[in-house]
Amino acid sequence: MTPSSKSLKWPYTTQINFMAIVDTLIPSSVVIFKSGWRFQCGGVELSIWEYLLMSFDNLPTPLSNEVSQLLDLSALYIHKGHYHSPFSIYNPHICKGIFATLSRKDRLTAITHLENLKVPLHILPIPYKNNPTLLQITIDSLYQLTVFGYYSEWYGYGCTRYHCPSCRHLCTYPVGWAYTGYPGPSFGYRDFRGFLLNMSNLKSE
Amino acid sequence: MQRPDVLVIGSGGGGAVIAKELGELGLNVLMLEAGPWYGNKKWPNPNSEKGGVYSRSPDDLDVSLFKESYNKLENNMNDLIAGKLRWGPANREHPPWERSFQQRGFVWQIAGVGGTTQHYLANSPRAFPSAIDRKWPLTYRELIPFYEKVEDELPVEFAPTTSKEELFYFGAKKAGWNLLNTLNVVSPGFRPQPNAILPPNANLLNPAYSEKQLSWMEGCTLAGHCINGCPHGPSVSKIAKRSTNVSYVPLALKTGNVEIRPNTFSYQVITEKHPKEGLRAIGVKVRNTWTGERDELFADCIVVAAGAVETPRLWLNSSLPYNPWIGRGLVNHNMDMVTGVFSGKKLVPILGSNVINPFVGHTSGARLDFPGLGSIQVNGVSPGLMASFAYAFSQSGTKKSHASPIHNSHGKGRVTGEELIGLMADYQKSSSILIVTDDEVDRKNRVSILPSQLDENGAIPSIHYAPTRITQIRKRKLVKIAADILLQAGARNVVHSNWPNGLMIHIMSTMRMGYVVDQNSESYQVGRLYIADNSILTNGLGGANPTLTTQALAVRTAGKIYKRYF
Repeated sequence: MTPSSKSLKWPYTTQINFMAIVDTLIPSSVVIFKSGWRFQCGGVELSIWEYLLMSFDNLPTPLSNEVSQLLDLSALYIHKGHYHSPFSIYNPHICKGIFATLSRKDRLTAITHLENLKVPLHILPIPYKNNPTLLQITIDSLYQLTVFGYYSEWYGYGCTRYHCPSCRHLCTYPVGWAYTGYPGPSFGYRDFRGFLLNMSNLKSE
Repeated sequence: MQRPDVLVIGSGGGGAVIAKELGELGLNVLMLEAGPWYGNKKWPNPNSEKGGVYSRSPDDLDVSLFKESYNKLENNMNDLIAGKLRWGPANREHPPWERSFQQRGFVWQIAGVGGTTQHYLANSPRAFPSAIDRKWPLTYRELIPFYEKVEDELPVEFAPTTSKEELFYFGAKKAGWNLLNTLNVVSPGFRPQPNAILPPNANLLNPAYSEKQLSWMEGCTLAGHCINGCPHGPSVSKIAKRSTNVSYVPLALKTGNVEIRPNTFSYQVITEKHPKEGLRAIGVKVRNTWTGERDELFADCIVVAAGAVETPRLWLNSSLPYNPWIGRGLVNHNMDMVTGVFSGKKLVPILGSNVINPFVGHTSGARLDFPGLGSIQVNGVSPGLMASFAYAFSQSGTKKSHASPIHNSHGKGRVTGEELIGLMADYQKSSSILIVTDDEVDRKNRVSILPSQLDENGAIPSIHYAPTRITQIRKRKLVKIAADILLQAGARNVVHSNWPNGLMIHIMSTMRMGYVVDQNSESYQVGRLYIADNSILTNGLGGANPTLTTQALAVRTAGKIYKRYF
């Protein structure tokens, strides 16, 4: 998927790195049933990478570019391991977007290395420099936000996703619902199977 | 409003209750709330315009506006960063308010009239008697009349059975547990959740009424949106799930003595040295979250009900006297989650259906209590929340083998890729159980402030929590019990999330009764300063959800305030 013109507020390398995270955690896939198969869109097709970018930039300190740098830094170490790469010092200008060039498996390893603090903490960008807790909370958020965005109604906001949160509205069917069998918001269900206990029976207690 | 008799800071689970009680006693109350007010004519666009200043009439409540705001879409409602139900200012274009974390995790709290009860599951069990007697400055017996009053007023009723509860009862019975037919839990067993949710609409099974019609009538429709914010009912005060914005707030307004100001952040308590009373609270400094205007408000008594993170923060930012227990003793029930995935064939004989549909019914309608360990609670949430909490949140890292499913094993850790897609494709055949541990109080666990980290309301709270060895042992035992129940019920896979310890949902005991406040909830060190939120709970109640106990204490405290100062 190509970034749309509305996404231009983020540097291109930050965008491709966020696409790459989402593609690692929820890739597009073919789901096989007894009766056949269907194609299931991944997080990239459902614009979840934009949800991630917006979320990180709506924090008290916007962090999308810093998170992208973290991913590049971890990716650099994987590159070095694979190719005995000549890079010995992390240079944020040369390495931008390198995370997105890794295979899915290596991307997951790069994310896991960050989570397990297997990168030198003193060379991380501020505010992550020597802050392992914030680093781990950020990795936790990457997972949780990606999955929450994907299975929630986010995709249904269509182009209104770029509006302020109060101005978004559903303009298309949130495809993620079809992948779980969730019928969407409901007025009620008639699956009432009686009561196991009643408060009135306990009054004499 | 003339000078109020009492200022209440916070309108959540505790504040709204004490405001209503004091109003009924004839006192003039001004309740201050940092977040927005949904469903009030004075704020027709609560997230995009600053609207009015205060409301004091039940006529201002508007159920159509309420339903417009609470639209049941989980991303819109529950997103912690920009959702309607978040800890932040009403204007969603501004970031949430910051907390500093000293370990992995986050705080799930809500600013707004109704506070965190806006998304709570309305689970309203009493504390376990063994957690109160000889551990609190009060006895369990002393609490009972106050429990009964709140249970009556909310009201609290046992949850109706839907598929996920039926399956849980089936598994629990098969695993050898007994039904507990009581509100006063002294032995282990399972039971329906005592929930602050109106009983199901009497016409729920009557096909003459459409579901939409039912949603405008009185009574729960089993729509399953407790956690997303329940909007169902004929009027604001008759909404099915009894968050305080639809229960105690309307009752408070009805007294004619309570005024509520949303969008008003209280950042400092004002004190004076009185020749006879000594140090005493006389007012509060506040800041409007839309305009940034600051103001000072005064009253004869101050009740702080800002929640177990903000109440100690307010104390510390007000430079009130040193006490070794301010912010100390934090417990969070060290939560976790275990999820079972079932095959349709196994479900048919138990449920008469090949799906569970966890999104139906009370979000949590059944529980197993085990005094000495804690409790476990059925949990069925919308798919985004389910996926992110059951499969994407773990301190065990990410499972490596994407393709291999976990057969009858306790898979632990996050799942991604095809395995996640496969598990979520079985969402309708899944059921989660929340682990709620009897969390041991440890003075090292705390809310403090970092003078170097400020936001517009002062130094921000810093949260430090590590479970004790005993808490961890209890949690492991509860995880085993939950996994066993799911397997006994026939689960094909069981996935143990293993959440990071720092997840703060039930946040308690940071201003403990007997240490910071006396048995009447008044500060030992600052006269006329009372606390009415989860922070005063002396411990984690043995693993019972805290709201009902906080509400019972708020009722009791109101009577004590009236008797002592009015």
